[in-house]
Amino acid sequence: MDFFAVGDEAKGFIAIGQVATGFIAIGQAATGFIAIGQLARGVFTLGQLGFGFIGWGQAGVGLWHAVGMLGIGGRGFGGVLPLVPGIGRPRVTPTAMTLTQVQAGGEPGWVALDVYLEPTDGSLALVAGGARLPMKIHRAILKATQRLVQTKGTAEQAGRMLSVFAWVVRYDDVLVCERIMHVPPRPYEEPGFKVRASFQLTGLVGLGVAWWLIVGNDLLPFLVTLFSEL
Amino acid sequence: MSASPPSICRNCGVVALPLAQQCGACDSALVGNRRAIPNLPPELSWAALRCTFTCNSCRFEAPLDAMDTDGAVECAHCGLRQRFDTEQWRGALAFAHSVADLAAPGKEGRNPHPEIWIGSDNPYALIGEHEVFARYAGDSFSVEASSGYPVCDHCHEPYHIRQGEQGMLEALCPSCGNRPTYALPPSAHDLYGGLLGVVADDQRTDRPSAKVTLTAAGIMALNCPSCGGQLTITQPSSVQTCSYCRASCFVPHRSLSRALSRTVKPAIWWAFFRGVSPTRAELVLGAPETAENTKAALLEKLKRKKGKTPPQAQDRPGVYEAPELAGRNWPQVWLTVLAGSVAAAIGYVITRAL
Repeated sequence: MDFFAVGDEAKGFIAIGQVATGFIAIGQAATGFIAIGQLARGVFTLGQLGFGFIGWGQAGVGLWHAVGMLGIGGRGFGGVLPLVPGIGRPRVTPTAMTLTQVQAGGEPGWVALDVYLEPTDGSLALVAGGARLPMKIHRAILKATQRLVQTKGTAEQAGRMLSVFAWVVRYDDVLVCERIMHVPPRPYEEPGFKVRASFQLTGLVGLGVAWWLIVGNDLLPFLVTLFSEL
Repeated sequence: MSASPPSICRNCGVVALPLAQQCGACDSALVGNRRAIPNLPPELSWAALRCTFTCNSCRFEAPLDAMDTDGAVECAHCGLRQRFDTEQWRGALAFAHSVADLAAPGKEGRNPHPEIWIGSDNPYALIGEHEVFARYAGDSFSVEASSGYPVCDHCHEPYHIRQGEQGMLEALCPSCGNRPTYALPPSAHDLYGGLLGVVADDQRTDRPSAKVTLTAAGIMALNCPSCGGQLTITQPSSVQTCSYCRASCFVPHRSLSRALSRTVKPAIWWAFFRGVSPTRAELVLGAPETAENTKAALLEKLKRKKGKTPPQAQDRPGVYEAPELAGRNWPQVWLTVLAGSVAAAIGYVITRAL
């Protein structure tokens, strides 16, 4: 087998042709470890339709990664259906102070506390350790905080309690919560994650089978032959 | 540092700025001339008002020294009696109530909400701290309002005010025993429900008013309401005694200024209010649907870009989501590679088995 092959049905380490098969294959229909073409099959693929471990194209299918207007794969960009569950990123949380520090120092700061939404009248209370804190809530964040607690409140007290960081400012003798920072749970901490993840991983295994049927069963014997002849 | 209790000018009763040397309303010296504001229940408040309207004829700003609700007002400069839309009092009184309710002490005014902070958005927080009057401008009608407490015309002691029936206010000076009474026009309650009464010279009911006659040329004559004799004004006092029959009568401030050939300036009069002012109600209850708090704005804040630092002091008040850590998400990368490889391995086994 040639190291460099060019032709309608080129086969070689580097193959360029209408139907190209090689370690590096470039063609209208390219099959290779690295495949570039209108229809690219392999491990690293780039084409109008790319199907590989990494599949980038107008339509991309990739076990690890896919990019495409339409696609399916481990993770990816564009209109790609991810089959590996997202675990999210860690969040940057502020350095928390105690309320006493804010009160004594006069400098504003973040205080870790819970927001409690009174179900009867919708009023909000800022609590820590079960005790209501002597603090007011800035009028501008009132409804937004109510919505936040309603939508992200803890499961035990659905829509009623939420742990947050509160930016507390002291005006004269009044402590005022001017900002609320909510740290959302990581995706795997959210309800329904396990069910969603099991569907995704089943799909990923299905994609693995499809890869072998469509790509691997052709590519693997070819690569074995290629490296034994070279 | 806690808010210092407000004081009033001993001479006029209008709030005295903490560091001022001179009263911003009557220009009298404040050194040694301040007085603590008398205690009032939190739901009650006094507003000091200075009102003017633009005369349709001479275009001067003419004083309106009382709550005139008969639909006609008289220009103190040219004497023209002209139409006045009394509906304008609605906005003016709501404004005055808001100033009286929200002015110092403190950034939230007289009656702060126990849970909701409005101090940062209070439009009248500076009144009584750095400014004396807030201004409201209607159609050809303007009002300056401040906080304070009405004081006796004679000895300048704060009045003890008692509410009578149907908008009557009975004042009593604890020092000199002066007991003026003031009546509220019947339609005033319809114009503004929170108004309890007014303390204005023009609305005194305990003395008859001098007869004021204005000619078309603007020449003014003041006559005794008892004997009709001409009043000779020598002292700038609103209560004058007839030199013929010795009856005392009340002379309106604007007429007094003209009789003494002084520039006609608006006098301070007082409105007494009860309840939460419209601005406070709006700040406390109607607050949230502003540009910063719409659902779209909230979502935007929740979708802060990855790697951005948490909201800082200079950011606007709001609800934020903690930003994600910047950089490559390596745990996700390794999980994806591992899961994809395992899936491929399982796929190999399955295809071999088929």
